[in-house]
Amino acid sequence: MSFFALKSPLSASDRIERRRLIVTDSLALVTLFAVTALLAVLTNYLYQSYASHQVKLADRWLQRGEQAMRDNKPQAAIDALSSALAFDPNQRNTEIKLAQALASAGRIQEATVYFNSLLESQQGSGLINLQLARLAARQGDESQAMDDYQRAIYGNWEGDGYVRRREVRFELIKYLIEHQQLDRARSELLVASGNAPEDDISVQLEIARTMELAQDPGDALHLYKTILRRHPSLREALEGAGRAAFQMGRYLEAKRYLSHALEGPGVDQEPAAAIAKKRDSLNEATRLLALYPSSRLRPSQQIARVLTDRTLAMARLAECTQDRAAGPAKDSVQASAPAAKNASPLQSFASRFSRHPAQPAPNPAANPAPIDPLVTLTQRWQQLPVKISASDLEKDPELTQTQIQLIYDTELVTQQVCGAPAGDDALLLRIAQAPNQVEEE
Amino acid sequence: MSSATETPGVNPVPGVVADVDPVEVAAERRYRPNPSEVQRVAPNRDERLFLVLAIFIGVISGLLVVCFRVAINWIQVLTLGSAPRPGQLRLLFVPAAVGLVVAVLVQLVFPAARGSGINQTKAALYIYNGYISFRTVIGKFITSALSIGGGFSLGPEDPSLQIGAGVASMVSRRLNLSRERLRMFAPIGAAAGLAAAFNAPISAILFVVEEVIGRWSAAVLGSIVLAAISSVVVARWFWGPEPMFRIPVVTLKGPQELLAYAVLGVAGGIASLIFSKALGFSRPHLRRLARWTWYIQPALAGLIVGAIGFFGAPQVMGPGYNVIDQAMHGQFTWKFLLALALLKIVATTISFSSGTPGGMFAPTLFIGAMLGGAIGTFEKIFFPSFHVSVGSYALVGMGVLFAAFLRVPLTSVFMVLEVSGNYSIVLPVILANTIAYLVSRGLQPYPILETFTHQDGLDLPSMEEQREEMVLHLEDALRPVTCPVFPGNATLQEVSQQLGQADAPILLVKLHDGSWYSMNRNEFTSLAAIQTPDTPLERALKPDRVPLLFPDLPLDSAIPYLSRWPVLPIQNRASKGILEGVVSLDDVLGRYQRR
Repeated sequence: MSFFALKSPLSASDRIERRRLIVTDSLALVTLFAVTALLAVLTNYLYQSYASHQVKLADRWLQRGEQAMRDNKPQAAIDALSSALAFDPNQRNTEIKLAQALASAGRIQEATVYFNSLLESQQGSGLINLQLARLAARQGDESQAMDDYQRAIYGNWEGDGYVRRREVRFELIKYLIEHQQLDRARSELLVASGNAPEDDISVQLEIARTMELAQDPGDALHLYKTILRRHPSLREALEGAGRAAFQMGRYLEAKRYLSHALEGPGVDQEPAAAIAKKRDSLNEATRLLALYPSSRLRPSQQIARVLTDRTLAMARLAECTQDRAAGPAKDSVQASAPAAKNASPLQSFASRFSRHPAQPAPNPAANPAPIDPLVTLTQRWQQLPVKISASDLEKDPELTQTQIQLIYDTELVTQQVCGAPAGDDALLLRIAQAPNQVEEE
Repeated sequence: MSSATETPGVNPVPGVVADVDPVEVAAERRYRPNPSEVQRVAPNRDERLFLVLAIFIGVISGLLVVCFRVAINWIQVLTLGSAPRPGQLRLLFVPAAVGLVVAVLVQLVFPAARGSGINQTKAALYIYNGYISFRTVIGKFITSALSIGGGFSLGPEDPSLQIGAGVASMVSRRLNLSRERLRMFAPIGAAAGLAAAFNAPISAILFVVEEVIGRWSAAVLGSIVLAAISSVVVARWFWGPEPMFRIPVVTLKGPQELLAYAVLGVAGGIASLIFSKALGFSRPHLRRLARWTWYIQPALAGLIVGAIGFFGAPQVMGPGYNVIDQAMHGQFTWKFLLALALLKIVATTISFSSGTPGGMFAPTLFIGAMLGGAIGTFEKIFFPSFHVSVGSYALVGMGVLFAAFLRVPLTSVFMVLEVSGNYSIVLPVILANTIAYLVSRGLQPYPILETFTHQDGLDLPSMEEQREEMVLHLEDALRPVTCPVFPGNATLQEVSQQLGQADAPILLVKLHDGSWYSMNRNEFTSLAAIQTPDTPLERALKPDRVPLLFPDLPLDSAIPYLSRWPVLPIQNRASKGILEGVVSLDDVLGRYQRR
């Protein structure tokens, strides 16, 4: 019906009625609006009152949960943190803590599920990936743990992300070392070293120490030296450099660093066992250097050391030979004809220098056997004069070098055949393993 | 009130008055709208007010539902504490004390506040012209807040639905709207209340259409949507837009994983049967006890529910949404989840059957989530080849119970999508819900809400039955054209001669513009008597024409015309002018009688 058609059939009373209806409806709508506004105010007041109370309750339960975690009560922590979440469901930190509590309580599956669901809404979160890595590590899933650690390192971190990433990298490195994945650990250490700030000594020291654990003394020594260039008296760096140099066979360097470390201030504040250990290393390096026939020495001094080392090596060879001769009959080398054939020269050689009485020769009847390294060694000794004097060596430098090499080879071979030596022989063995390293700096 | 219809297997409780306050009946009689006068002086008034009021109803319902939920939370925190734990004595005493208070209030002050609220809203719509009193709204608010907050195993959604419907009823009454409009407002308010309670507008709209009014109508649908959206806007203003539950994205690795969800559907169907049987058995038995026991039944129910909490499962107390969230995050073993599902059935049955006001939506979701979580956890352990996410199973489980127990399959799908905001779950939800619905229908012929109405002595329309009813069309009553058909340009003399030979009681006339006219022999004789014999038939006819009808139209669409026309020609949609057949009143009535 059109607007104009509406107006015309209404009588005067109808128009009055219509006007009254309009006024009534308008008043009703205004009243409705007022009621709505009042209800909105009341609702807002009620809601805010509960919301603030809810926040207090959530905070209270969160604190109880954190305290329970500190008190090592994970189940109580789970209950408290669940209650905290019930009152404030959108708190990611509370959810993370709850998941951590579940992990602490041994509920690994639930914790993993929780963290995975958190990860869905926080893709790339470093913290969550770190927690998942730890859970995977606890479950023995190495590949998953490493993947998660990598994601944690390159993930998003709140606050000082650089520091957190570095800490996570260290955690990964330690995990790799524990699982004997040393190559990968070394790679990560190099990355960490490259990222480390130059002015943060503690970080660099930690990296260097971890390099030692990863059996990378070379990089560790390099890093310690870098630190010492700026802080020449830093005891930890001196000790570390000494250790690394010692591991590398650079005993002169090790002696220098260890000496400085033990002479520095504050040494006596260290535990006695630690001091004793350092002194032992220093003494060892000192003694080793005393045995080392360095070419930097005067010829007479060098020759004196050669003669000392010669005596040691020959005794070592004799002892080893004696021990081999007295070994079990099933040893095929001992039962072989060449061995039997050569037993006499070995026996006679050994009897000249051995500290132990000679043993009867083994039965010569046997099949041909591989060449006994001891025999070869003995033959080499037999090619040298039985007695060599200092003047003989002074006159013949080539003889000196030959003797030195023979001494080294004796220690190496006897170590292979008769096991690790002790005492000065052990030191000679170390020299023999890397003679050029001893005085390298 | 009508007497209860005897339904096989469901005997109404003798002497029990339906959950409608008799005062409401008298109040309805007092109300006398004057629609004719209003219609005369302002014919478009109701229409214009309708949409505006829908928004007001939505906003007010949203605010009231927020108040309702806050009240529940406050009562829960103040009575049961911020974190109920097994062994706390208050768990035993508080629900019992609250039950006593609620019983007194319901029996003496707010008798219409009993029940969940859905059937009460339907009763208001179909029996009392959409009338819900202010006292009922207040009573429902107070008693449900007390019972739910006090630890009873009930939910806030159903009471929110009734509160919203009550608000709509009050608003529409104050504005003196017509009876037809009054009836329409109750479902509008119901949708608004439910939408705010669930924070899910689509589900609320679908539920009201699927369960309360049972049909779509453009006039009502627009207002329902407007009200629901308004209430959700208000609710989200306070609660934020986050979905109620969050689960990771579900990625099905292969169709075989749907089998696992199918198992959940079957289990949900069986669980809904157990739940329905328990409620259907206990409720009338408790109501048949002496009237004085009605004062203490809620207290005893509270004591039992509290005992369940005291002895190890406080999770079953209250709506349990935070427990559902914990289940979705896999914090319980499958055995405990199963135990929670069973205990929740027991607790809800006791709570509801004792007459304590409160709803069943939240317990239904809880039971479904626990069941789904249990099955998901079980499959995760024993069938590791399935990539099972416990959260997705719990979510699907919620929908499964919703579909099977409340028998609202469409609503259940959208409800799951809305409360999770996760569309990736849609395939498992549809599959599991459909299976659960079919299993439930096969095992339990009557939905639980219909069972309740029968127990209350009411006879409300069953929306499920209406959905399943076979709709008859004109093609079902069609018969071939046996009467003579004449062109409009035939003369009266020609027609008269042919009629004399054919002896047909009815004739059809096809006019030059493609329209049709039908008349009986008497009408033709009367026309022919006052016209010359050479008058074309078309010119002699009355001006009205037979309506355009097609075979696919509902059968009842022909009824209004059969008083005027002796037969109605049914035309072909593709070829205008070609008749498929004809129908008469006898044909239509005969077809209905053969149903």
